[in-house]
Amino acid sequence: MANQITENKVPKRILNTLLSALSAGVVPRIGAPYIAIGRKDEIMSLLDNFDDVAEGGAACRFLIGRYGSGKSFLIQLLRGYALERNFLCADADLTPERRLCGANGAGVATYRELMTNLASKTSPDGGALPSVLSRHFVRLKNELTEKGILPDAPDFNLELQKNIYKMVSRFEGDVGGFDFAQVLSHYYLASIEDNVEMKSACLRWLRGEFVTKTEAKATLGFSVSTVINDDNWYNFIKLFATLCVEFGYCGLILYIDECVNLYKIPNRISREANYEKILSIFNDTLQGKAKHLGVIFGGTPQFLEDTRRGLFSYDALKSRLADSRYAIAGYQNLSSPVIRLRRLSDNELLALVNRLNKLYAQREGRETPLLTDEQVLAFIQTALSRAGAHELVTPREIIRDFLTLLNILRDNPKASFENIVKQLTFGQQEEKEDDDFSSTQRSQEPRKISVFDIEL
Amino acid sequence: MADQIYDLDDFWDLAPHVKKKNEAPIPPFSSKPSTVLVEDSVSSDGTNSETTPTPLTCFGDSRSFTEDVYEPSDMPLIRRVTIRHFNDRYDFYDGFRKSALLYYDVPASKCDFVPFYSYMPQYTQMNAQQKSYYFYLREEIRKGNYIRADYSYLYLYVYEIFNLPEKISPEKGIRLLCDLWRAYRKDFPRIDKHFSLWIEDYCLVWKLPSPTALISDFIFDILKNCTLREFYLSDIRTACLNGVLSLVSVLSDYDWRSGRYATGESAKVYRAHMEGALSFVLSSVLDKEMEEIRRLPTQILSRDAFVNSLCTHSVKCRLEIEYHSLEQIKPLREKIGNLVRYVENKLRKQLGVKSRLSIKDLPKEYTQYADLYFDSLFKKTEQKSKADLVPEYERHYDAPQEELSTLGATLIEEASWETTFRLVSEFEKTEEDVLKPSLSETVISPSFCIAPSEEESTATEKTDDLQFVLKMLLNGENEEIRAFCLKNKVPMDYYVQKINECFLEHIGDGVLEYDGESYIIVEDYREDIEEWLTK
Repeated sequence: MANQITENKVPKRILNTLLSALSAGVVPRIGAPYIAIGRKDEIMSLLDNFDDVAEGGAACRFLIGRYGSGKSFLIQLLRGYALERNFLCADADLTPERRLCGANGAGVATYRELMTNLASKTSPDGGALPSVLSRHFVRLKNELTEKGILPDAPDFNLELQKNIYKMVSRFEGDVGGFDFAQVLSHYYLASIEDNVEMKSACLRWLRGEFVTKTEAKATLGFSVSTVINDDNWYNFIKLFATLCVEFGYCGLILYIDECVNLYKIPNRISREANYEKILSIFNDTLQGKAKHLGVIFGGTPQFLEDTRRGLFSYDALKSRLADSRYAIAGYQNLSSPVIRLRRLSDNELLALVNRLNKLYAQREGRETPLLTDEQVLAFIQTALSRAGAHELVTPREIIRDFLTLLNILRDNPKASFENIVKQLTFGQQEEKEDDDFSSTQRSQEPRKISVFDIEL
Repeated sequence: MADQIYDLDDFWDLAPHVKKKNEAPIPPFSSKPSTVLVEDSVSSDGTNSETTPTPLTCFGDSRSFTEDVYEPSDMPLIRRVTIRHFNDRYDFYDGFRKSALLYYDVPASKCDFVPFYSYMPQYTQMNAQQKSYYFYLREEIRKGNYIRADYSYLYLYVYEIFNLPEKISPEKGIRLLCDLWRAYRKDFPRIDKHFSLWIEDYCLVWKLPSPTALISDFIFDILKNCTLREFYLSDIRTACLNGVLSLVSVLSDYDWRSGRYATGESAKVYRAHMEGALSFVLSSVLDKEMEEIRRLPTQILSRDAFVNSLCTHSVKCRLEIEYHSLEQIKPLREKIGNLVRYVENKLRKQLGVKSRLSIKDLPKEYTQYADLYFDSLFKKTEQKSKADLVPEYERHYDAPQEELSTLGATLIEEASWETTFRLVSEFEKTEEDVLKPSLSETVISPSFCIAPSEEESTATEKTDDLQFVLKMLLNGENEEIRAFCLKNKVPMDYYVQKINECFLEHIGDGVLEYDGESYIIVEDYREDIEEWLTK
């Protein structure tokens, strides 16, 4: 039994933020690595993908797990890791209004969400697009300055534009490259001139907020041959991922969660159009057509494996994502595009609660945790003894309950763990007895007529 | 010459040349039942007995039966039947009856089919070949072999049944009629019309029960031709078991067979369950309905029995049938129609069809029995499929089964630090920290962090710029900052980014954020910023 706090200390600020978020039942933005219990193999496999993306490759993975299995937590974990490693991250949750493609701009709505939530290390909460562009602009400016072309020089603007087009010309084969360069150059010039309106208009174009070219021209003041729409938003994502490196980053990682909303699309043709988009993304990333791009989809088992409506209903995806026959033998294949997140085992939950016990003590400055190992074990046993616990209890509920218990014990020095648990157990017992009584009562009701009572 | 002179008419008289036949005298048959002496060649004890007069009557002692009235006990819809016999002395078809008796036991031999047509077939209208074939046909029919026939042959056989009650008992006769009808109705569809009428008369005259059970396999088809459907549907319970669909076709205003889902692949299922469910429900509720029907006023139908058939007057009579008409019972028809719709809705649910028929005012008893039928059949299937509903792939997402143990959890927790170290570059070190983690040396340093040397040097050179911007932001002097950025031709975003990068390394978080209009200080870190500025 280890009552001593582990030597692994967590920075205080991170610890406070972490425990506050966990108490509220939300996924913590920082400090998530300190409660990453279990899932070691899955995390290592995903981190290897980031190395591939940084080296110019691409990756596409599917994180599949039931509600409450920790998909969002894992995504936040990876997001934090990617941000720390100088990646750009963009995340979006799909909804009935935000899909990969659909009517009424449902596809470009997802792109807008991604670009709005674009995050970097210095802007972890999103809205990083201006700072990303500014960073690139300063680099270009410094390059010109080194060549002797100062910002005050009359040909500075022209040389700046030349540099931009030269950079983008390497990506002429990419859709929208020219327009991208044009908008970028206008943005940089507007930065120099402190033209807020032009900067805002350029950002709107980059975020796909213009519906028509006419509207874009009217706002930008110059013509563009295309606007970002349902048909081409993914091409612009690929372009942006490639340009990330020019901007000074390792790559672009997309996190697209709640893909179950695609499964819920009632119209088969519309649903399959979205699955086609997923197929296109999958093929591009694995065939090398996309560079410095990682895409992680999060969804439920039905979204993936339902053969009537899920991804496996689409033959092209099924053949790519389904397990091979060797996987049926029960061995884990972490190189597969699909990572299945099984529910945490009882021991993993116990390990998680043990960790929280120690982190809580560390935050409170205690030498020993509030609860002993036996008490923590009793807590878990009580939590898992409830009816349906193995099906319905999630790590979120366990964490919230445990931290609430610790807060109670901290704030009520006279309270004891045994008394609190006893009261909780008695309450559950009463509920169980009520259930038994009602079932007994039901059994005493007159038996309803059955078909066998009636003779024809 | 005179001897040779003879009456030319006598030339054609063959009587002197024809062998005289010994014919048994058959008295004329009249409306008054009469007796005739018939020699019994063999008595009951096997010995020849003297001639014993055997009365040959259809109705027993005619002196007590001019009108026969009875109330059928097994036909709830037929209240009373009155049979009135004809009092005419002259019997037009008496000769036929005599012939029929004569020919009743004539043996037959196999012969080829010979067509025969007559509007009112009789023996005298047949030639020798036709007669031979008819006797052969009759013998085969008596054995249950229904060989090739003609309309006239069939009707002739039927006339024998009608007119020879002493030879063919009514109980046997109704079975013969029903079997004959079944066997030949497909090849001779016109017999439906006549048989349906004659069998009604035959049963009513001879006080037989309704033959619903005997013709249950095709009663559904003949009901539309019946003049008195109440007769055939009187045996409700049997009708429910065997002919419920026919019953429903009369009682219901909705024909489920015309629905678009009752065809194709679902046709068999539809028929089976519509029949099963309706049979179950109606057999349970119709008795009660019949009792109510019997309280309603009756109707009277009068007609001659065995119309369009060859009957002697001993058989022919006038029937007066007092009955409860089903067609006039509107509430029952509505209930049955709604019941059919309700049952179809239940079946559609099982078949996965979403559309439903509208139903009004169906008694609860009807719905309960219908629900009972479907629940008993499909409950087990649903229970079974509930277990099957959990897809196999769900097992991939279940937690591994293992016993809870402190040691196991401790090992898992210690192993998780490796994951944490992999995810976190290094632990932050502050004055309050005691020790660096022992695994810190094995931390994989990020190999791909871009930190261009020129940017680093630029950052070093511009620290003064960053300090200036921070000071202005602390004081809220945004205009000063704008002028500074314009002067240096560097966007504000760049300075903010660099400042946040510095503080990320220093305190682990950015200190500037965008509030929608401009960049502001995060107040929580004001003290940290002032401390950094003083260093």
